[in-house]
Amino acid sequence: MQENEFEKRLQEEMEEFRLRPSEVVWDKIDDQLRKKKRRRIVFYIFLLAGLSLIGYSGYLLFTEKQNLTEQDVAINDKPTNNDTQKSIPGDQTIATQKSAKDQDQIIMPGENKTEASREKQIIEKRYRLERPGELQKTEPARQNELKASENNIAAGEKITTPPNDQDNKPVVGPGPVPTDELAGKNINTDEELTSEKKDINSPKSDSAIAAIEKQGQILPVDQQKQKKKSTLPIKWGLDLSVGVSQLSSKAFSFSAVSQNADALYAAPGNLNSSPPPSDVLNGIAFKVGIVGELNVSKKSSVSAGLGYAYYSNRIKTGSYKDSSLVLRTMTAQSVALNSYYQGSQVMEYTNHYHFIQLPVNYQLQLNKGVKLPLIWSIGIAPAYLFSTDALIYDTARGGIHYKNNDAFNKFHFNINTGLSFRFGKTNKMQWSLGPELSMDMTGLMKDADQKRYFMYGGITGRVYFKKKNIK
Amino acid sequence: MDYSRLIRECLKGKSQAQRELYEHFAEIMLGVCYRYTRSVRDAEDVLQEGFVKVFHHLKQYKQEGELGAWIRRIMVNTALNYLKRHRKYQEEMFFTEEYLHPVADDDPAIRLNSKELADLIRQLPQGYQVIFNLHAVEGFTHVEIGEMLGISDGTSRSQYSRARNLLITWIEKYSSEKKNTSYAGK
Repeated sequence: MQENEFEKRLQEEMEEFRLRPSEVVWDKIDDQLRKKKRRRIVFYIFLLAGLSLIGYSGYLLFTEKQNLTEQDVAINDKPTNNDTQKSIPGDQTIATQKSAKDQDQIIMPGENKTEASREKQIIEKRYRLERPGELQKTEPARQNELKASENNIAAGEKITTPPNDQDNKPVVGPGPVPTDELAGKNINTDEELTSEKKDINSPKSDSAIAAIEKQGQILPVDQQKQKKKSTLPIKWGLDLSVGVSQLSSKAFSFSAVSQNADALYAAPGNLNSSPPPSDVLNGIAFKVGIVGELNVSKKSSVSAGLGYAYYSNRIKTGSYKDSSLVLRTMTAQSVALNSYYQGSQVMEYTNHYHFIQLPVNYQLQLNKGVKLPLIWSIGIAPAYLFSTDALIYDTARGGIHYKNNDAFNKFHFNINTGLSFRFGKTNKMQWSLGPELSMDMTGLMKDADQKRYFMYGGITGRVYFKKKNIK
Repeated sequence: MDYSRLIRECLKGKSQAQRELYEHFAEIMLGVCYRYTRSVRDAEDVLQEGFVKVFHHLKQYKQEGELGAWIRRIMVNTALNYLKRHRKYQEEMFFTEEYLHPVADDDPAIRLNSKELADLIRQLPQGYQVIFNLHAVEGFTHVEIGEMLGISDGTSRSQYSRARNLLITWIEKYSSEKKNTSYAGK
């Protein structure tokens, strides 16, 4: 029998050869297909959630600024009225430039309502000290006296006030306090004054604030701040992490691997006839991104952000060949190479990987101290490999390295954990620093039967943006 | 069978179409996997991995060649990777440069059925088996096999001729044993 005839008959026989697989095989295939689909769905959910959180936070930040601007304008534009002055005694001296102009009044430059309140308190204090025997006066009488005192101050500064609008247009200014003018007036007890002062200084409840706002009244500045704090609890920060990236053979493993492309030509035999792929050495890596953090309890918070991650590793390659070559891939596709690296591995080459990440973390304070909180964080970070120049190894042509971005998984799913100390106070510059570990749960290469996973270890710092003071 | 429709629906992720495609090719592809492995369980593992790859990369199929041939190629590559991964196969792999053995001219008068033939092929040493399957059954040239396995085409030729001679000897032996058994049975 001739060689071809034997092979021909053998091929015919083998064409007929069939075996019925067990039912379990399809179940496993189906399970794997669904798993991949689920993973993709989870990635998109996280992507959507992350973007929504960022968008919502941005919206809050934007509206906060807008509201502040509007309120500033409102404060400057709003004419004063008696009701307001009576309802919020501490703020009744807020005089606006517009109303002052309308009323032909002169407001001293640089004056604000805090100064005005202080002036008024001084007047009250001096009045009580100098008229200890007249504490039985009624409140309306006392108010009149105070008004008169204020008017005198204004008169001392040569500020004219139309007589009809005295109550509406408080005018303050530096100058001696004419205590003599206050003689012979009624006044309430000290207790009443104290309680009145308490009212001035005590924060109002949200409902009271809302009621006041509803009536178109102006809130005291302290209360405005408090209200704003409660509506915008997200702290913004900048993350920066520097470390080392490593390719591991298994998830959660520190064992380094070689980066041969068994996704493509796989040599089941020994590799004596071609040089084995070089070891993959760890490379530098860093991450940078913005993050929004939301306190969920006294000691825990969640954060989400958007970041860029750079990983690298180093390999040895042969010399550069600027010639074309066609490789057949695992899926029977042809890969046309215009250049590759071949021969004895003497050149050092750095593989670069660029990712966009959406880290979502949960932070928990482990210690009780408030001076130096120790924070443990754990979370996930879906990532997209948007660029790489990494080389892969193939046993073809006696062992070559070449670029083929299609061989890499684009979507990745990382698990992050870390410890950090938080420095600084909440109202001032706050930052944290500590070690971080990140594990890529998705294989680096698409079809690699021997999976490769990125492991990242580094030091991560976070600086929280200082909140703007609301004036 | 309307492969175009089936592929379209598989690409849309329809489980029913995927199942249909699998059912259509599973038996013949398990036959392919069986020839490269030592047990049905291993063959089924290869089949499973291979079909997952088929569905993941179906969009790469250009519909120029035959779909069955494309899937078969994936199964063969998956089988080669499987052998590489598993130590029990790896230990049996050896490809050494040897003198070419003359191709046997005997007519083994193949009286075996396809299952029996496949079983004999599987009894070849692993290195021989792979090269024999790739050349004699799949039709790859020795140059192609050399590139696939990272060996020279001369090594592939040498291994193949040894495998072929060994197989022909076995076929003859098995055929005569079978003949004697059938006579004894009468």
